Amino acid sequence: MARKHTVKAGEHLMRIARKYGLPDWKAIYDAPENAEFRKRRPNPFILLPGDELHIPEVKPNEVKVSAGRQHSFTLKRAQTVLKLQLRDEDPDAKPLANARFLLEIEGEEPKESRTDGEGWLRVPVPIDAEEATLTVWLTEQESVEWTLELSHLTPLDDDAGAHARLSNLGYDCGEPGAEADSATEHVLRAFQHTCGIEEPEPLGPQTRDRLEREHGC
Amino acid sequence: MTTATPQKDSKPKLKARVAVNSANTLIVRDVPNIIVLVGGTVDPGNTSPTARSASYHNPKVPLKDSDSNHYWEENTRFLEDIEALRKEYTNLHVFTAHGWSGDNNPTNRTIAGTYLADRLCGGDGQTPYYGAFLNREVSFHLIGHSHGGNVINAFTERAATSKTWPKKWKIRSITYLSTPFFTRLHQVNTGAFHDDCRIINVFCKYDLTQRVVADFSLMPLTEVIGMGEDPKKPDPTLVTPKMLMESVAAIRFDFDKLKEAVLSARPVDKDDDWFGVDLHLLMNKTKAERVYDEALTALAQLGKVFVQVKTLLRQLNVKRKLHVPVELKGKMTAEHQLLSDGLLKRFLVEIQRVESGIVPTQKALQARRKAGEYPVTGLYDDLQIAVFLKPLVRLVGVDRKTLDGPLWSLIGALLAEQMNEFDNTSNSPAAQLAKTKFASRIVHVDVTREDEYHQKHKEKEYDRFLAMLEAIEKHFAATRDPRDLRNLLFTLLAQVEPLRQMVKKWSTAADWAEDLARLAGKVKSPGLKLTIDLVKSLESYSVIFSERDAGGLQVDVPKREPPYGSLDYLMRVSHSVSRQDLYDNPKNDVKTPLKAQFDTRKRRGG
Repeated sequence: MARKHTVKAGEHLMRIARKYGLPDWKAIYDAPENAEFRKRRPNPFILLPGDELHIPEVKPNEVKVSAGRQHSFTLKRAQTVLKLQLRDEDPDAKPLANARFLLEIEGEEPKESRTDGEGWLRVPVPIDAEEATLTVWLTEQESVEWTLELSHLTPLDDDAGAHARLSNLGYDCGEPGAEADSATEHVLRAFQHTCGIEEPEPLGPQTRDRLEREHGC
Repeated sequence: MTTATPQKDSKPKLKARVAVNSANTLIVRDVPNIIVLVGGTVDPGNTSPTARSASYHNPKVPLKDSDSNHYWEENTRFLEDIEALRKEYTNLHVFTAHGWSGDNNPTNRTIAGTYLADRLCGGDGQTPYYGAFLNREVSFHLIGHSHGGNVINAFTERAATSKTWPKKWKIRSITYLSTPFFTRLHQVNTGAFHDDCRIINVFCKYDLTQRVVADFSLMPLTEVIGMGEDPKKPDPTLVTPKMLMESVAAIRFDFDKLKEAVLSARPVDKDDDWFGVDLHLLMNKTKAERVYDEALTALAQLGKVFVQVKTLLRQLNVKRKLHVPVELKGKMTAEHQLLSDGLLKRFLVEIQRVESGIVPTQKALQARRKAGEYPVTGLYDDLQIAVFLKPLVRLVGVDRKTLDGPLWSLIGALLAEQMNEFDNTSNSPAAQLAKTKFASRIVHVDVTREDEYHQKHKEKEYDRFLAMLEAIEKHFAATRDPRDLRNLLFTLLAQVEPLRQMVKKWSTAADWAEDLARLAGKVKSPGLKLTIDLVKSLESYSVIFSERDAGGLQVDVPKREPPYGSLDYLMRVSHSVSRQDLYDNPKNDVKTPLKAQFDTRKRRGG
């Protein structure tokens, strides 16, 4: 039976699909009823709380097998990966290459490794994980630590999405909230100035494109 | 996987919202450190409407072809050092997009510093240059050369008092390069200083500008003397100081020829009667002709000079519209009269006195030349003593003690009218910071040994010279005695080669004056007495100069311009030693104390 789902904070299509017993998030995303949604959300991992989705019926996968024999089935579990490029805050924004890091998620084994030559870290994370602690060592003595809110990045429809990306890019908009709106606008203007964008709106189409490109998503 | 995990910092955690299965960028934050470069005065006489002091150039254009306003244009080593620092640290920015009038005027400097602070943070309706940092902790490192340091002090005042200046923005270091520190003007305000702020004071002992010249802030003279005119459309009626100087230099009179002619005088009996005697003291004809020709040429040139002087003085008296930079609109005098009506009148009266004697003197000399006979007394009569030589001698006369005389009184008054401010300067910011906790955080860096002049072994002479100047300024600061200004002028002139050598020769004029005096005992001539007065004047100049002669500062080396130790050298070259390099020699280290103030991280692997 088809249902509707209203997206909550921290959800992405893979989690939603699993919640409804769907083996593949594409079943939801590609459903003809979600054509309008696809247009609005080209990235199925960046959703806005309040988005409405059509959930198609679950159709069990049928497999014909002969009786009296043993069969083995492999279940392909969907996996989520955290992909981050760490960069120094400097006028040249150099990647933080070969930096030691530690990723801790409650109930999981801590994962420790190094970024690659381009400052990237790619670490599988549980599909339901919503929070992680990332520690990066800049030197043997100096480290920096983030609380990562996984899947809480929202689209650039509103100031919250802009705020999060700007903050990740090193711009300071203050704490999210009503008082931060004017600060975010101010910082968006500074971002436009840095990128040489001239738009009447603080978050116009050019600014959104550029911000998305600079942030990576 | 790595083995031993290093300790974590106890710094507060940052928050980041990220998407899974998507590329995210995470910037590792660091305190932005911003070096602000501030150029100094480019127009000490405030004579050019277009000159300005700009700290930037177009990076796409090679330095050699860059904007002539680029203050640091010739300081390539210094700029390279700053760029190397930028690359050495993670979040080090260099702000150079600042320009100001570069005038030697306290109003302009204050406006420049205020504007700079506003431009960075968005005060007074400016677009904030560092808008992205407004809510963050930021460390500023201000580096200024010469009066650029006083612009920085105006900046500190604005940062400390402006409501727009973010409280988290702190000045973490100030590097003063050859800055003249005033007693009263442009005092530093430590209100926006970081608790660990350090002051780096870089100086060169031969820097005459820092120690003396910068004490005088001038009225804006822009365009007043017609030097700001469009070079494509020159006004042929204008006289420039350069033109006048060329005309003055063209006046020549060889006193040796006069001496030869006078001493060649022999008694000649002019009575045709065999028994009668009518003795005349006549000069040798050839020698006398030379003197008369010399005098006529000099007079013609002198006449030209007087016409030019009067034109120039009238130009200076005209009220002119001044170029007012955008930043100074409504805050700066838009009109200025360099020479007051009263002073112009005094000048013209003196000039008229001398000038009125030129034509009758020329006529008398020409008549004598035609007659072909040259009695000694005739020469002095021909010089039209009453109308020409007398006012001239009076004009150039100078008293050895008061240093006063009609000409010097006028020059002194002219200088006083141009002086906007006088404030004694020192080469240390210690007095300004005396009552603050930063008094103990001043690092003095003496770069004297980097000055090539230091190798010329003129330290004693320079110290003597400086001691004289400082004593004069100290007295002037306390009394505002006009004699001090004349004393200062003579003390400076006494070091100028070849003037110094020329005036030295005038000391022998005293001997000649004695010869003339003996002659005057035999011949009653008012002209001769005046000539003696003129020679005595020259002797006075010689004494005044010798009393102030520091012993020869200048060292001539072929093709070296300006010559080592010349006033030009001491005022410009020695003044610029501090900005040639961001020195890191063990004995004069600017770089290390500056780097110690950075609180941005060093680049990894750097």
